[in-house]
Amino acid sequence: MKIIWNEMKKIWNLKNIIMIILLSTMCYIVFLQFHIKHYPNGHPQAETLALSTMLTEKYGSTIEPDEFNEFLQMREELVKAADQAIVENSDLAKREIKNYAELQEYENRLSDENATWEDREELQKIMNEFYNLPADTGSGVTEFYSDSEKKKYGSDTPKLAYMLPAFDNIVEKYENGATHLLQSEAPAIYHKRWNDMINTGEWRSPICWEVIENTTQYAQNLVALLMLLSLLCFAPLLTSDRVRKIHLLQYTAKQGRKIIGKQLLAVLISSILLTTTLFLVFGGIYAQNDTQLFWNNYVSSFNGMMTSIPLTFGQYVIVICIMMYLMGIAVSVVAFLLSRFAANYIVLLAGLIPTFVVSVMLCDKLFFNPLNGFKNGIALFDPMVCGIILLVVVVVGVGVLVRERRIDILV
Amino acid sequence: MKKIINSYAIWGFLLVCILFNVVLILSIGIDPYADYVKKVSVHTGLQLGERFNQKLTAFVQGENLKNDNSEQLVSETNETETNFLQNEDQKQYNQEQLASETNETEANLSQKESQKWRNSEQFYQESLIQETTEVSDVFDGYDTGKIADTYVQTFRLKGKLAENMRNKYADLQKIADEKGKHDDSLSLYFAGSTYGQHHKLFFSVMRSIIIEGVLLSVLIVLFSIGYENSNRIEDIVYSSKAGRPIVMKKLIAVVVTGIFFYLLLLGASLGLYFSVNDYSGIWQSNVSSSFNGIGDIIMGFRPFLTWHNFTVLSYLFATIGVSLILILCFSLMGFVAGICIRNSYVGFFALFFVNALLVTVTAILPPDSYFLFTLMLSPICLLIKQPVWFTDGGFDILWKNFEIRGVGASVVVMAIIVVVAAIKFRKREII
Amino acid sequence: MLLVNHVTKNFGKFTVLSDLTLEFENGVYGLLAPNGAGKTTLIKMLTTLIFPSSGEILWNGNEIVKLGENYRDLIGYLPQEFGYYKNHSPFDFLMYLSALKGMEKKAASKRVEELLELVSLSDVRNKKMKKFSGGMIQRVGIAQAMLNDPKILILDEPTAGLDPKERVRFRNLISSLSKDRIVILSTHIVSDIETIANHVVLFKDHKLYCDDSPANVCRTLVGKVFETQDISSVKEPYLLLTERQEEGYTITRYVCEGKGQFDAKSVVPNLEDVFLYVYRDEVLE
Repeated sequence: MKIIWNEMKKIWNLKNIIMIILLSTMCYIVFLQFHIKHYPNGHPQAETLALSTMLTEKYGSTIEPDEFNEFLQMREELVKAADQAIVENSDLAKREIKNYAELQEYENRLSDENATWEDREELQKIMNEFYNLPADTGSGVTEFYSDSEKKKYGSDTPKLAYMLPAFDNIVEKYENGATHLLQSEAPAIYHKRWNDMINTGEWRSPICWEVIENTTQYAQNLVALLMLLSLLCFAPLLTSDRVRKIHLLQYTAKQGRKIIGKQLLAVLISSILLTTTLFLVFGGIYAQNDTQLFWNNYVSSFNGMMTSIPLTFGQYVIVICIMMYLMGIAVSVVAFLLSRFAANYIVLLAGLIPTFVVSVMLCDKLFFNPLNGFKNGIALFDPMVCGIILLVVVVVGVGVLVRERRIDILV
Repeated sequence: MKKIINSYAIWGFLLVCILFNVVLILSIGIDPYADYVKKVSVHTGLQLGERFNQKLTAFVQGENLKNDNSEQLVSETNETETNFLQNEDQKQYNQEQLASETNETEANLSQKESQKWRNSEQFYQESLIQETTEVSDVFDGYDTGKIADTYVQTFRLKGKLAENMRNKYADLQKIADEKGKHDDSLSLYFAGSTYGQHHKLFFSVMRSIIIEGVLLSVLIVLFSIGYENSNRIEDIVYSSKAGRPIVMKKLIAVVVTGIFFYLLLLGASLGLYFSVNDYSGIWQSNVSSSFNGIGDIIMGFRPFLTWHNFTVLSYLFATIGVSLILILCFSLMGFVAGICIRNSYVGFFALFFVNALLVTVTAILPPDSYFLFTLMLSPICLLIKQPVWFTDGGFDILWKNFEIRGVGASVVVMAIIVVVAAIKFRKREII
Repeated sequence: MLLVNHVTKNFGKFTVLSDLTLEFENGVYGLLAPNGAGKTTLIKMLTTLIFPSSGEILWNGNEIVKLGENYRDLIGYLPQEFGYYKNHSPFDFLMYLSALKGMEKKAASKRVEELLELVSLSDVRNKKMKKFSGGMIQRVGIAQAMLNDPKILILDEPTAGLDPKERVRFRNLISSLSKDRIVILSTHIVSDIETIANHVVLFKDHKLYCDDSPANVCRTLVGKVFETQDISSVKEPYLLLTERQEEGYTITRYVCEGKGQFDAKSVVPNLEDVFLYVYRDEVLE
């Protein structure tokens, strides 16, 4: 244990800690902050999220038909307000648009594929009129937004013109019974999952796509940071010993060549520590987004996506965290192996750079909407790939440890 | 130079970069429509207009005569051709008819059949005809002042900043007018596939090559400068007749070698790219074609308006030229890092850190900060802006020809820093 | 007893050591041979860094690789290029190595203090080693080799870079340590071996040449080593050994199989004479 502790001290020295802090801060400013500062990212995401939040707070993790009827009534109130505002607007009245339904019809006509440029310009003028309706047109629009959202958008929110389409979107998807999540030509496995989703009522979860997308994109950026820090912190460990020929003293001591196994253990423990620290810090920061409200909502939702297995949002986040641990450990082992075979720092760098690029590209793909459908026909494809990568890397690592016991140490 | 050329690590890294580019190029794939357009361009030329339409029609007719299954289409085309020759309005109507028929045809097909239809030569023919007859000169009446106004308003630029921004776009207006006069945008390029093809080459492949070139040159510099330290022969080398001034000779050697390796990388990667994506016949297309464009979140999609008149070939060479100077800048930065920090590993990360910090600072600074605009001329920011070199550059660029100004200024600044570092090195104690 | 039993070591087609048999008991063994003769190869085999291609190395009848940590617990090794952590103090560095040697923290701390005292580095126990002179670094190296009070102390070029005073101090230290342990010393400095070694081990042509006391080794050249002021007058074949200046004359020392010149003085051969003679390239006529 003492040896592992000594090796960990070599990793967690002051320079490395400062580097971790500085790089994490820079990465947060350039990549991660976007998902906090611009969440939700403008309109109509703000409205979709506001409604999703309201529905969860009011009705819990599913929206039953009677609850949906209440939602429809809310919409009706807004439509009445919209009708009133449209009637009072002279530009819209000029075009003989008397209510919201007619406005929608007009919009559909002017935006179909046969529309001319003149049509499109006209449509833009009309929609501008609608969007410029006074901020609090329609009673009760304000109450759909949280205080933080109102603060974020200032006088731009609340707006009936943004809220109504968001309502319509939810209504359409709910009334369609989440059929948009299943393509007719999808393999049988998709159909089975969809049927299960419908039968269990999972699909009635009010979570919205914006929550899932923002969370997975945040995770994508966080895991890239994890890859970078893992490689930077753990790669120099063995190389620096070899460059200074300290490995000769290590291997001839009582501990002998077993030390490399202990160094690997030190790297593994440090990797878990690093990943956990990143979770605590950046997870804590992400908590500002209040996505934990959706913790018990199923991710498979009429308003979201269809996961390959039933998962609540909380479970989904946990799966993503596990995937990050797996990839973090795998990359740490790769860094360790690179370190073992790099005779000098230039060789180490020549190995680290491609490793970083490949690992980030891989994680980009794996953490892009993980568990969304059946990638390659496999239910848990993304976590499985993470597990396989870790397994392969660990097997190679064990092979290197076994080999280390037998080889001649010439330099 | 021999030391570098004999280094397995450098060659190994070069090979990994080439392999990465191979995978990238193969995964991007080939656009069969672009291939078709290239084939057609041999017969039609690249300048759109009346003559082009005639030649295109004749070509299509000729192609269809060869195809036994397309007799009906031939007669339709003949009829269409007759209308072309007789009446332009009629021709226009027929094209729209054909297009709507195409849409109707497609609408009636299942998804698989639809995909098959989209891959067919008939579809390419009809698409090309539609695109090239519907296209208009995008620079006719193009107002760059709107861009300037939008940027100034959005970012609340004031005083000198607002003035510079407006001046930039005022200068760009002259270019746009000139291009409008000469119908520069009526250039075929790859027709509807132009944006994708341009993006593939200049956004994906060239960007990847340049970044790899930068990393390679930095590794070469650090390897060379740190060689004595890592092999513990500093005492011998710096006390010899050559002495400390040897570092300046090393500088020349590493710059030359860095460029040599970059050209190897460039040659191998572009060689593969152009063997997979045949550009013959397209090289003389104007990059400011109406089919090409750039976008940003403020102005959306707009024409690819370059300060100078570039064909695809000259734009490629210009990009390579600027990239060479950019790599020189990074080599000089690596040299300074290697001189100041004897450990190559720490030197690399100091360099990485400094550049990361520059990028972070640009993310923090308010958009109306003069310092931000100056930082955008730094090598790392120029590298990020590579896909929009030789254009206006967007809302975070204040000057025309920013890439040339940037690399020029960076080389001068870095040269001064190198000289200062070398002078300090002469006086540094080698312990 | 440490027994090297018919050990051969090949690297590919090249044989470094061929059928080597040696016995080590308590005392100081000096490995004397030119560069590339196989000294470091033997040392690395004794320290389990490399493995014999054939043959075995036994400690009290047991194969050392199989003994594993039980054997490594008995050895102290100072490599030719001694590596260290620049930003560690000697105390920190020795404590780090003591952990690798399986020592308890309290006992290690005490032992480290003792050793730093022994090598006269107590004053600088907390100073970073990057500020040390070469001699001080070497002393840290010797201290770390002694950490676990080894039964077998293996030192590869330990006095390289030491000044005469430090070299004498080192010799005295080794002599005092050798009474109850095996000390294997690999060096080019013949005087070190002459003064402290009980045994001299010579390799030639990748084989063991001799393993005997310094006196017996020198005795092989008795009556064959001469000194003269006029080497040009020597008619018989001879091997030039050394030259020195004495009272304005150049005294040339040489080996001659014959009787020597009448004006040449027969001298007592030393180990250096034997070294130069055994590893001679040619005979000057």
